[in-house]
Order: sequence, then C-alpha cells, then structure tokens
Amino acid sequence: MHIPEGMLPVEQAAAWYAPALAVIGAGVARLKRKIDEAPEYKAMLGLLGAFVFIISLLPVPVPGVGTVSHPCGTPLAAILLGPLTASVLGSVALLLQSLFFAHGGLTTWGANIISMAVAGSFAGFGAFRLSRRLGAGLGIAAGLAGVVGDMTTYGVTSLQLALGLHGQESVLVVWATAFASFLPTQVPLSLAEGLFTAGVVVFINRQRADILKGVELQP
Amino acid sequence: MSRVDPRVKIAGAASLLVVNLACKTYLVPALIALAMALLMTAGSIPYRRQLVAVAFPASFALFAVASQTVFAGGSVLASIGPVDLHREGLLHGLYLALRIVAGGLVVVVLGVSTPINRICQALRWFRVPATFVELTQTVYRYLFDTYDELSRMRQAQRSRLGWASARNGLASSRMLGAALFMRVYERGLRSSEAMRCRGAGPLEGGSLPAPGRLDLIAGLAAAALVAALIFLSLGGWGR
Repeated sequence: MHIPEGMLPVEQAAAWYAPALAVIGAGVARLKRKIDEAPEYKAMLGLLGAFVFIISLLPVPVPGVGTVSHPCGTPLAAILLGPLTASVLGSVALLLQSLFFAHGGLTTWGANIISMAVAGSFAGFGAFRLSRRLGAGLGIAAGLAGVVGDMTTYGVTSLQLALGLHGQESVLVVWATAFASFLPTQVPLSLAEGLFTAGVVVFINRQRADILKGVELQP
Repeated sequence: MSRVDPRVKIAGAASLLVVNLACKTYLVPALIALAMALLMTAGSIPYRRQLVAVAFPASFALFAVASQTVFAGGSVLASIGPVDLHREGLLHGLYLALRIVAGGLVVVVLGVSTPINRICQALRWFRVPATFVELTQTVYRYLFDTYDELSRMRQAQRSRLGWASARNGLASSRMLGAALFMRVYERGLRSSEAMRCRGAGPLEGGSLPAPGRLDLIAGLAAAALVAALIFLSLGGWGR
C-alpha cells in the first residue's frame, strides 16, 4: 500500500528518507560495480525492474473476499534477484508510480521505499532462506516468503501511518487499530500472494531451472 | 508547462511540497491545490485525467479524515457505540485531506508536464547517481513493452477461460507471472548480447541547455508563490 503525498508530517517524511537512502545507496553501489564489470547487465536490470513494476499491477483473485487485488511483488523479486537488488528496483518502480500514476508521493517516497521495497524484500527473502535451511521445499519456502513479505509490508505501513496520525492516542493503539483494519482483506491477500509466489517459483524451476541458477540467490 | 526547464519544475515542485507539509494552515494547501488545478486547466489536461489523478490521494484523504476524527482528540462531537468522534480531530483530518490532495496535484502536474528523459537529465544535474538515473530510464523504456506482453498473455488465457473462476484465476496468475519472468529474462539476455556487440557504454541523456527567459519567468512565479504561502502561513491566515 502506497502512502500518498502529504500524508506524513514533514519531519517524519524526512526521517524515513535517511534509512531508505542508505539501503538504496548500498544497493546502487553494488549494482554500479556489476555494471562496470559488464555494462550489458543494465538491459537485464531494466527489464527485471519493469517486471517488478508490472507484477505489482498483476491481478490476483483474493480467496474468500470475492475480489481481485495486486501482489506486492517484492518477496518474489527478492527470491529471484536478491533483496538488495529487489529493493533498488522497487524504489525505481515507486518513483515512476508516484510521478506518472499518482500512486505514492515524492515526500513519502522514503517511507514507501522502507515499507514496500526494503521491508517486503528482506522479510520475504529472510523467510525464504530460513525455511529452506529448515528443510522446507521450494514451493513452501516461496509461499512463506510471499505471506511474510506481504504482512511485513502492511505492518510497517501501519506503523508509519500510526506514527504520523496517532494524535493523542498511543502509537501502539493506533498501529494495532490500523493493522487490524487491514486484516480482513490483507490476510486473504497475503495468502494469495504466498500461493502466487510459490506457483511462480515452482513453475520457473520446473520449466527453466537454469534461470533460477542464473539469477542471484544471495543478498 | 512542458517547455519549462525540468530543473525549474523539480525545484518548484519540491519547494511547494515542503511548504505544503510545513505550513500548518488550511489556506496553504487550498491555494496550492487551486494553483495546480489552474495550471492543469491552462495546460489543457482533460478533466477526466485530472479526476483519475486525484482519485487515489482522495481515497487516502477520506482515511485521514476518519482516523483523525477518532484519534486526534478534542471535544466530543458525537459517539458511535464506544467510539467518540472529536471536533478538533475532524478539523485536523480535513486539513490533512487538503494537504494530501494539494501534494498529489503538485506531483501530477510535474509528472504530466515533464517527459521521463527530461526528468532524468535534471536528476543528473542535481547529482543523483548515474547508475540510479540510468536504471530509471531503462526500466521506463521497457515498461510498456513488458505491460503489452503481459496483456497479450492474459488475453490469451481469458480466451481459453483461464480466469473463469477464482481457482483457475489463481493458477492462471501464477503461470502468467512465471511466463512473464521467463520471457523478460530471455529478452534481457538478447538485449544484453546486442548491447555487448555494439560496445554499449553509459546511456547519454544529453545535457540540458542554459535556462531561458520562460524558465526565468516560471522560476520567479514559483518563488513568488512559495514566498506568498510562507508569508500567509506566518501571518496566521487560514488557521
């Protein structure tokens, strides 16, 4: 969920920029080294960035709710590309979405990077790696990554909104209220994202296992 | 608007966005929204496009009004069961809603009046790392091709009743995501090979020309608007 322009107070909008720029800076430095070694890697990154953008617009049926929603896409991107690269590509997608589709904003770009690009990628990738180490199959691990990445994204977004809008209530109460109000749609959606992520990874592994070996699976 | 230097537009938009957040009066976001609406009308942007552009911020504006009415405190206006609705909270929510719509309109005006290549040129001038700017340009370049590919595949699935129920819709969406990734990956390999063959270097966006008279006028107008808004805010107008 994108936080729109103007939603957060100026000091909080600025504060979210600091960690976001630190992560994106590290990711960009890493990508620069790769591009310097192989300039043609840029085309691949551009296409994968477009994939991350498009995948977050892909309609996925939400079981039980009878509607269609969109996956975050970052847990899947993190499994396929690594969380740092997924974070950078997610930040590019967020910038383009805010400028040309009025989704998100420029002063809230830092907050949106942290919740959607960074938290979704790292939580999803962490769940994937941990469950693989514990012996889970590829599909189960990817499914868990989808669920955890999605719920983490919404948890962090709820926290950002609670910090910005808590007024005279405690942050914890507002965070719990915001998160709980997302749950009726978010639980089925995160399950759908888990099924979607598992299905995509298993399908790629079945059809083109060489691609999964070719793409980066390390942070 | 599209002829104005992108550096002027980005600097003007950034100043307006900061003023929009920092000046805590109703008048400032209302005036910003009015100025942006006038700019869009002067730029012949269709009303339908303007409405679509504000639809997403407007939905969050409603959320802001509702959450502030409940949480921001103040004198009780009404009660719904155990939940009290507060007068001061409602007013603060309305201020937030105005701020969200005004900020959204500033970003929309910047987005619709500036092509991506000009925005990227300006970002380089503002010393944004070249890798990030090139990546943004490359993602944008492939975005519409990739979307067309997705639409074609989805249409083919629909014609085979791939989305007839929620169950096979979910299966279709997984297959669609995987097939799209594989196609994108293969096309990326082909594009990379082509770039390597022709000895591709960094993307050259071309440098921006020195600002002209129009840019100076636009810059002065933006600076005057920002100064007026700060003055009105400091004077306590529209609190």
